[in-house]
Amino acid sequence: MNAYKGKITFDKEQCVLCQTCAFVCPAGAINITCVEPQRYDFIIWHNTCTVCGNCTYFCPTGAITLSNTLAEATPQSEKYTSITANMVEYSECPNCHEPMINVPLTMLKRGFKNVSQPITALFKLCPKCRREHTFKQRVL
Amino acid sequence: MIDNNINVYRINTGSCNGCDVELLASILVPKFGFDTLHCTYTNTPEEANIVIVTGSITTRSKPFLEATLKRLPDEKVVVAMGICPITGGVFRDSYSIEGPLDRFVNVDVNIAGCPPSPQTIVDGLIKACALWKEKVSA
Repeated sequence: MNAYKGKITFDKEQCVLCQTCAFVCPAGAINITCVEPQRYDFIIWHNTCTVCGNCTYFCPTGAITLSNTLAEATPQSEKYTSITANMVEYSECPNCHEPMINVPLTMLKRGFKNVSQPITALFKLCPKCRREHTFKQRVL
Repeated sequence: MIDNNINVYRINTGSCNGCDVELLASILVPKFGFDTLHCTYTNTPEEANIVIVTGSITTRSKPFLEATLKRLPDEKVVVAMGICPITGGVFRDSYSIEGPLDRFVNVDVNIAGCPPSPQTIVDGLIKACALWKEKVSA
C-alpha cells in the first residue's frame, strides 16, 4: 500500500466530533461548523491541504485516513469546490431518545481490551442512560 | 519556432523550492513526457505560453512578480503550482503574504499538493496545454 502523499479521506461513521483534526491542521484545511443543532458540516479543502498526515496521526478513532489517490490538478473554476464535504449527525439514544454522539467500535477498542456484546450494547445508550444502567446492575 | 511548440516559463515567488525541485528535477526527466507535450522550458518571459507560478507571494517578491507579469504576453495560460499560490497554504493569513495568486493575475489551472507529485504536475500541464491549444485555435 502506497499511502505517501495520498488525498485525505473521511469516514463520517467513525467521527466523534472531537475537532482535534481541525486544531492540529497546519494549513487550516479542515473546517467543522455547526449548521443546526446536532448537525455538523465537516469540510476538507484539498487545495490547501499539505498532506502532512497530522490529522490522521491524531484522530482518536481513525476517521481520517490517507488514501492512495493523489492530489488533483483542477481548473480555476473548481478552486473552492475541490472539497470533501460530509454531514456528521448525532444519533439518538434508544432508551430516552436524547441526541448523542455515536461511539464507534474503534473508540471502544482503544478503551477496552475485549469488546464484548454487553459493552457495545451499553455504549449505544447516551451517557445519562449509561450511568443509570450501570448503577442498576451494580446496586439493585 | 516550431508551429505547435509550447514555451513554459516559471516564476518563483518565495517558495520553499519544493515545487521547483519537483518541476525541474522530475518533470524535465524524459520519463514524464515533457517533450511529448511539445513543451520547452524557457527563461524569457516574453516568449512564455504557459506560466507556472510557485510559492506563496511574499511581500519581498511581490514587486518582482508584478514586473514579470507586465513582461508576459497577453495570451497565456497561468498555472498555480502547489498549495501556496492557490490559497496561501500553511502561510495563509501571515503578515508577509500577499497571495493568493488570483489577486494578481487570472489563474487557469491549479495543481494541488505540497509539493505536487510528478503525476499531478503532468496532469496539470496536460490541462494547461489543452487550454493553450484552445486559445490558439480560437
